[in-house]
Formats: sequence, structure tokens, C-alpha cells
Amino acid sequence: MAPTSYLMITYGATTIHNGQCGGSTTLNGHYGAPPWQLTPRQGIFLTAGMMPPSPNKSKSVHKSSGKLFRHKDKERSGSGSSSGSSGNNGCSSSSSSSNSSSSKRDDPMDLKDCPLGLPVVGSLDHARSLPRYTALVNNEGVSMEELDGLQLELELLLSSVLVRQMAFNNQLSIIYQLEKGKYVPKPAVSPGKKMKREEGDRPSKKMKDSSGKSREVLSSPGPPPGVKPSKVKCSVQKYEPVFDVPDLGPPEQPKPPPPKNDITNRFWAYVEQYCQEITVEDIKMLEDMINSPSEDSDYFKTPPLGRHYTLRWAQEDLQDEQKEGMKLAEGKKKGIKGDPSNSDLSDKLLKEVDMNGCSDDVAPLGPLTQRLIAGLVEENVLVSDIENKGVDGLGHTRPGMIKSLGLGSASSLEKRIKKELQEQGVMETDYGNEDDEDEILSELRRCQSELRAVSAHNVTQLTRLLNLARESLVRHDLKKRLRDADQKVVEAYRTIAAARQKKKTPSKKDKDIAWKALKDREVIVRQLDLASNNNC
Amino acid sequence: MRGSESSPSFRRDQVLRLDPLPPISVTPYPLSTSTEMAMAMSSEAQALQDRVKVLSDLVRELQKARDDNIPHMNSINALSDKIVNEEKLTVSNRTKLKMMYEKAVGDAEKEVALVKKALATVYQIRNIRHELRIQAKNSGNKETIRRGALMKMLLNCAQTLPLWIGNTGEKPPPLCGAVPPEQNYVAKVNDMVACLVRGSEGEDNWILAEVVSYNTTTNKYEVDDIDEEQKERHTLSRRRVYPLPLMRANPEVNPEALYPKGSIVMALYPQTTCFYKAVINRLPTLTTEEYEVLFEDPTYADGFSPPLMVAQRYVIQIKEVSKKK
Repeated sequence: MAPTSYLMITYGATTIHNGQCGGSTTLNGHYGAPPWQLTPRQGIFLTAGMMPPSPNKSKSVHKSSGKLFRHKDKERSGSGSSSGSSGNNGCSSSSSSSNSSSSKRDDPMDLKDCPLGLPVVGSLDHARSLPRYTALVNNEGVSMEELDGLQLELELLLSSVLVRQMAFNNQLSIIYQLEKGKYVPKPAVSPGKKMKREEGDRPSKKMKDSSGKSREVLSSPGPPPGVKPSKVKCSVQKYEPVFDVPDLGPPEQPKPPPPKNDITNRFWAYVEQYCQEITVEDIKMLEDMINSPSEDSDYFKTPPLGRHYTLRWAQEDLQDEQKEGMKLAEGKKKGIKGDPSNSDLSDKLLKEVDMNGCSDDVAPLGPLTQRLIAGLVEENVLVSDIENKGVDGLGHTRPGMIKSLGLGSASSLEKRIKKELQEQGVMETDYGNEDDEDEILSELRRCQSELRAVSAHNVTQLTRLLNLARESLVRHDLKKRLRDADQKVVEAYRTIAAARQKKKTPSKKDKDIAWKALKDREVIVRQLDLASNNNC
Repeated sequence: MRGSESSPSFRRDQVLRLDPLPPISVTPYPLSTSTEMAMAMSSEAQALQDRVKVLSDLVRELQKARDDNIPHMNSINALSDKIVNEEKLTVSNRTKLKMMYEKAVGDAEKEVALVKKALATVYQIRNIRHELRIQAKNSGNKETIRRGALMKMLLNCAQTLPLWIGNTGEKPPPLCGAVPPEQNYVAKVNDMVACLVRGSEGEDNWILAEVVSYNTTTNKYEVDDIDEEQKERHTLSRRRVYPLPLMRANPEVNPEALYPKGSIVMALYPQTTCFYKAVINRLPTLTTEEYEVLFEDPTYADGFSPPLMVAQRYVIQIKEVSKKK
């Protein structure tokens, strides 16, 4: 659409230009001629207006140029052509806005909110980067010495294809989430990734600290029944300075204590929520929390400006006064209805005192339009003409004229002109100034960005927790086995102790069992250590 | 290679490698001419030619598939450009994008399968040549390897170590890159390992060696120093032997299988066959790149050597061996 409107405007400009340099007679004639001589020049303007090459706009141009009968200012033709193009623009924008009025999931998303990376993809240029591979492709054969190089090139090729595949899969998963209507926070772009790679130890150190703390909490156990903590040493102990109790699994219910000693129970019951093992339900809960459909999407919409409060108050005041009047009147007469009509009346009253200042009858053209037209108006204007056809007095002289131009209301004309000028590059686009910036809007935006940041942070933290939880499930199994191994060790100890009590040296078999139990336990402990270390 | 193209309002990821890759230079495996000739005349030479033919066919098929995929990627780029220009993502564009992405994922999978087949053929060829080499060596070409040739062999070995390629989401296995071996892993015969041996003056050194055998009853390895000048066969317990990685990790796809920057490792000092303590300075970014490490060296002012490049194969976890038992 832009190119054609460009042509329109330039053409409009050139007509003016031609008018300016070509016919001095026409120009001066235009300003000097009495009204009855205007007809011949109409023709010129009409043809000028009709000539722009865009076929689909010709209708509107005809329409607008057709309306040039009576009044011949160049700015009219200029504004006519621009209004023609911007009229079309307006139609298209209205159709897209009707699209967006469908369900919120189908809103066209603004690009700055879009979490998609829209990666630029392509195939590795093998001719430049993989010489041996290229040689093989071109049927030149490969010598044995080149085989190693070929292997490396193939590996590089494979790696770039895999990277591409990963990128696609990421984008696809984001799209799936968008389709389900969830709000997806915009992920950190590649600078974040680069940071992760270069300063990789910093986040990993942080994880270590935080995961060390969380391990402290997760892996410290409940009270093992009947076994004194100091006897059974565990290598995990060094991570639990707080409790100094070995990691032996979920707190088992202590035997029903004497009624007085309830304090320990309550303590352990309280601590249990922190020390429990992670279960599958916990993992499910975490997953649900991450994937739950976000109800925040409503918060991110900027509600449209309502009626200005002064207008609303004025209307309400009027209505109140009318009600008062009604009440008084009702006291005198009966059976007067008409609240709706009264509100209509108040609306009408208010329209007459429109605060916007852009009502069509009084000021048909907004400030931008006026500036534009003023720029297009010829500088050296004879004084007499100003009295007749001043720039500002358009509305007064020909009240019906402007409406008949079909420009639409002044504010919409204003917007269309602004958009047109921005597209042409004549006016600078003012970013972020689409709505009138007021404090409420800026506050709303600030809160929205905060909400976005917080939800993104929450999601990352939850995924981190989820990963840790999954890994701790693995350790859970190991801990079970460790418990069994401990049992065996304890049994072996008991048999040996019993044997010693009977003043018999423990049999070789018992010793072997004891050693085996000890060794097995050590293996499991080492595995657990490894698993814990890997997680850090 | 990886950057973000920023338009005034939207930043896009760049997955396409724009710059040409650095040229790959592989240290050739040093073969004496006599060995080469023996290999060429061997009966298996024909099998080699067959494999090479298979390889070139595969490569051509792969290239055809890649050429077919290029228009799809161009259309994806065109649609992305259009979306960026419109400055909004409509539902129809989103569904179109989704379908294109799904198709592109299928294309990429096909490409991956073909490349994997080609790589498998390359490995087969290499195995055949390895067999030939051993045959030639055993059939009478008993030359001792000079030091220079040994170093080249080590480099070549490291560069051509197979790259581990897993399916999406698969975790790298043990002994790939930095992933430690399983608890009860036993190195196989002819694997390379790093082992702690006591030198003649009583100092302990971690040296590069090759496994000869493993005695399951005593749980001890018999290893040969790779530097044949020593001609020593050591018998060591399992705790003094650490297997070298069997596969390289791909830094772009599995960065978690690399040693993190700043971690302390044992690395092979370049042009020697001994491992020393070092700290990782820079990770490789491409599959063909190596780690940059700083060796602990008291002869330098800050205690560390200048950065040296060591291949993934020769960087292992630090292992403190207690002297008890």
C-alpha cells in the first residue's frame, strides 16, 4: 500500500509544483481571479487529480477531485489526494482491527511481546567451509589422507544441522504454548546465552550455593528410630551442619511417646515439611505450576481510554440537576416519564460544549492538518484574499463544504495524515507516543513490565526446582538401598557382638558377611556421593 | 557465527553460520612409506575402495537432500521477515510458521540420518585401515616410533576421536567428554588411559598408557607406556588408572558434557606424554576446537603457564589418590 500512496503524494506534489512553475498565469490567476473565472482551472485540477497511476485509488481520487468544483486551493487537491490514500489505509486498518476483536488467543501479537525468536536459518555453505566434502560431492573422490579431515567436516555439518533442529524445536514448543493461550514470557536472547557460556561458572556457583542450601534442607532426615545419631556415620553428613543427623530417609513415625513428651513429636512434625523426601506428587505439582495457563494475560492489555472524567462529571451533573428538576416537577405534575430522553438531552447539551476542541463544525481540521495545509499554502498571499478565504476560516465560510469532502472527522483525518507522513518519512515516527502519556498509563506499563519480569523469574525458578526435584528422586532410590545396606551392617554387627558376648570368636562366615555388608554400603554411599556431586 | 541481528524493534536469533568456518587442519597419521605400501597391497584394499564408493554415494545423496531443503528455509526466512516488517504476529502467520517449522524439523532429521550414515561409513573405512596397519606392523615392519611421529600420532588420535551425536534430549553417556565413567567401568584392551606410576626417583607421574590386560581376580591393570622408549609394562590397581574419554562432546549441542571454565583438571602437556594439573581457561566452541588450559607451573611468576591448547581427549578429571592400601 505504501508505494502507491507514495506515488499519490508525490504526484500531488508535482501537480502543485507544476502549477507553481509552469503556469504563472494559472497561479496568479487562481488567486486573483474573481469567482466566475474559476471554472477553466477546475479542469486542470480535475485532470491532475485523475492522473495518478494507482487504479484502485482512482475511484476515491475521482470522488475527491470531483468535489473540487467550487474551491480551488492547491492544498485542497493535495489534501484530497492524501485523504484518498489514507482513506484506503484506514479501511485496511479497520479490517485488521476487526480481526483482533475475535477471541483473545487469536489477537495478533505485537512483536515486542512476541516470545518467538524468529531465527534466521540456512544451510551451511559447504563450498566455502568444507573443502573435502565439496570435493566428494563433485565426484572428485577422496584420498586416504583426507579421510580424517572429511570426518571432521562431516561432524561439523552434523552439528550445525542439529543446532538448527534444536532451534526449530524450541520455536515450535513456544508456538504450541501460545496456541494453548498461555502467556509465554520472552526468553533472554543470545546475549544471555553468550553470558551463560562465558561466565558459566558464576551461575553454576550460584546454583551450588543455593542447591547446597536446598540439599541441606532436603537431605537431612527425620529421626531414625532407636539409633543414636553419632553411631552411624554417613558421608552426606558434611552437608548438614544444622542437624548433625545422618541421612537415612523419610522420618518414620516415632513410637507413641509417653504423653508428657509431646514436644519432640511436634517439633519433628513441624520440621517434616522441610525435610521430607520429594515425591512424585510434588513433581507433578511443580509441573502443574509451571504449565498452568496464565491468567495474567488480561493484565497486559491496556484498556482504552474512557470518556474524560470532566465530560462524565459534566454529564452526571446535568443528569442530577435534571433529576432534581424532575422531582420538583413531579411534585407539581404527575406521570412524567422520560429518563432516557433526559439523558439524551444531557448528551446533546454536552456535545455543544465539546471539550475536545475538534468538533467538526467548529474546527474541521486538527492542528497537524492545519500545519500541513499552512505549509502548502502559498506564502505571498494578497491581503484581500485572506479576508475571504483565510486558512482558519474554512469552516465559517463553507460549513457544508468540509463535510462534503468526506474527510471524516477531524481527529481521524489528523491520525491518517500523521500516519501517511510517517510512512513517507516526512515526519519522524514518535515511538511509544501512541497514546497520550499520562501518569496512569505509564504506571500501568511499569506494572506490566514488572509482572512480566516476575512471571519470567517464577518460571525459571520453578523449572530449576523441577530439575532438582527430579534428580533428587533418583537419589531417593539410592537412599533406600543405603537404608537396606545399613540394616545388613547392623545385623552383621549384632551377630558378631552376640558371638563376642558368648566369648566365642565370631565365625569366619559372620566376618565375611560383615565385611561384605560394609563394602556394599560403601559402594552405595559413593554412588550417592557421586549423584549428589553431579547435581551440584 | 552466532549473533543476533537487531532491527530497531526486534531482535532475531541467527542460526545460520555466516562466516566461513576456520579451515580444518588435521595432523596426518604418520605412516612410513613401507607400511603404506604394505597396506595398499593387502587383500583388504579392495574392501576399502568399495567403502569409499559407498561413502561418495551417501555424500551425494546428502547434498541433494540439503539442496532440497534450502528453498524451505528461504521461505521460513521470508515469512519471518514479513512478520518483523508487519510488527505483529497474526494467527494465520503463526500457524503458517508452525507448519513450516514442523516441516523443517522433519527435513533436518532426514539430513541428520544421512550424515550419520556417512560418518558411519567413514568409521568403517578407518577401522579397515587400522586393521591393515596392524597387519602390516605385525608382518614385519617393526620400526620403533620416533618421538616426533609419536606426537603426531597422539594429535591425530585426539582430533579424529569420534564425536558423540545423540538424539534430541539424550544425555551424553559416560566417557563422552567430561562425563565421568561408571563406577565399575573397566577399560578395554588397547584403550588409552592415564595412570599414576612411580618414577625412578620416587616421584609420581600421571602418564599416558595403553591397556594391555585387566586381571579380574586381582583387579589390576597391565599397562604399557605409550612412549615405547620406556618399554615398561606396569601393573597398577584400578584406582591408579583413569580411562580417557572415548568420544568427543559437541560444544554446540551438549555443552554440559564439557569441563566448565575455571575447573581444575589433569591435562596432557603438549609434546609430552604426561598429565599435569591445569585449570581450564576457555572452552571449545566448535567440535573441531580444543580446550585452552593453564598449567600449574611454579617456574612462572603467577604460578601458571601461558595458555596452551589441549584436545578434549587429553583432559580428564583430577583424581587425588590416597596412598593408603
